[in-house]
Amino acid sequence: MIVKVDAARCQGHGRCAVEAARVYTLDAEGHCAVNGRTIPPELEEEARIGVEVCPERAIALEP
Amino acid sequence: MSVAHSSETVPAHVPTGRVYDFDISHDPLLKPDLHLGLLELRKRAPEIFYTPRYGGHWIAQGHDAVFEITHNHEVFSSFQGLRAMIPIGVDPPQHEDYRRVLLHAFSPRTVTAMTETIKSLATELIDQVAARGSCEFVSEVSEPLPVIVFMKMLGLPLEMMAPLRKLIITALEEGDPVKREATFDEQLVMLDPVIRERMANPQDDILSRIATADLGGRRATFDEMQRYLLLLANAGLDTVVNAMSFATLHLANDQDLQAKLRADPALVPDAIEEFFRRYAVSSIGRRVTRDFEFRDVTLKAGDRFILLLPAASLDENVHPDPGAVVLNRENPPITFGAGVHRCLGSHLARLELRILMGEWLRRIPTFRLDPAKAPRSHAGLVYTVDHLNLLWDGAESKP
Ligand code: HEM
Ligand code: SF4
Repeated sequence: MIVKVDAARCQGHGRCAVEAARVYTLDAEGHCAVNGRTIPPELEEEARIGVEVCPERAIALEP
Repeated sequence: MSVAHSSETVPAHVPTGRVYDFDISHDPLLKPDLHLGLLELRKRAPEIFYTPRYGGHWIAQGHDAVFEITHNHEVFSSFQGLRAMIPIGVDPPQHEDYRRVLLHAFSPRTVTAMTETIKSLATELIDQVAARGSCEFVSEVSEPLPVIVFMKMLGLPLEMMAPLRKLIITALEEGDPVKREATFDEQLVMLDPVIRERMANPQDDILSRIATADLGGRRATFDEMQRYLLLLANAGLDTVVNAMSFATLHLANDQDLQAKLRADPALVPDAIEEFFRRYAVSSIGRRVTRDFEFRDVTLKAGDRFILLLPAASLDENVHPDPGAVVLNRENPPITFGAGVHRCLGSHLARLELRILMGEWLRRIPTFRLDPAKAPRSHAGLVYTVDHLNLLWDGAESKP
């Protein structure tokens, strides 16, 4: 599973990193910094939580 | 009992095509099977519709509509007035501070560390009924487990367990919101001294963490402590109880899947995920803050919404053949909500269900419904299994 972050949508709320810290990290400006990251199976559930909590719907997961 | 479908409760801004008379608690469609009734509702009513019941309110029953609503807290507020539970009844930006306080206690890491505790509680409960060959699953297994786990997490004194558990169960069973409030007051009579004690003398438990947390430069007040505790005690419990009961009810009826899970216990976690979707239990409320055009519907400030998550989890556009139990579906369900209030307790709920189901299948032989005592369930904001009488192989129904 791969994380896709739409940089145009991400507003730097940082919710993803707070709720699913093992998957999401933020860059110096507070924007989501894991675009393209491959997620190991044991973290897939947390990756989904990031998608569900992001207020801007900036995160998508690809198989 | 039935409220007339009158124009009084359908305001002028609601077009006739959007009106469908549906009683979220007592609709005949929901009998005999709540979730099959919702599959039928999905055929009959639009994704967003207005029902004249209970003073008139909107219902969203489509996955995407629910997702959008839960992602727009400016228009769709969680504030329901009076004693707003924390953090569920508080909107951003205040919500964020409140929620942050709880994140650690419910994180996957913290929750996973409770595995052994939960396992020994689960086996203890199961062993109490195993030799008998039958049980009433709700009162003997699915209800005690989450309640006891919760007490342990909060570090509540053991002697409080029995009486507090009784009060929580009374609250879970109380359908009337006013009477439910009264049982909350009764719970607080018991909990207030503990809250005071932890505020004065913090220890290593959730209550103390809340008491000492930084809420934007200040500490939680006594009133806030109460509103936290009531939410944790009441919202996180009946959901788990019923998720367990519906999952077990399904397995009692589906001998093929039961045999498959016995043969390969590694499939239990996938089955639990699918049970969360197929038998979602809780619906949530929102209030419209300003006039708003939403998906061809005109909303007015003050309009109320029920987001019917158990129906949205059966949305055929997201979950093809929604009535079937299929392991490893492509899309995650909306059972735990979405947006800023997405359930904090999902890791705990998942762990409790996995452990319980795993141990149950390991310790109890092939089981089915007791033909002499049919299970009973009812609708409401939380779909509830009232009782679930099970028999396992080699046993006979006892009167
Ligand atoms: C199968 C079991 C469960 C289900 C189906 C469930 C469902 C939900 C849903 C749908 C919400 C969103 C509410 C909203 O948006 O208005 C929610 C929120 C919440 N849940 Fe759960 N829940 C479950 C178990 C738990 C457990 C075990 C706990 C912990 C004790 C818990 C604690 C919470 C809290 C604290 C919130 C509020 C989060 C916030 O407002 O930010 N839940 N739950
Ligand atoms: S929650 Fe969404 S908007 Fe906020 S940082 Fe993460 S991706 Fe960006």
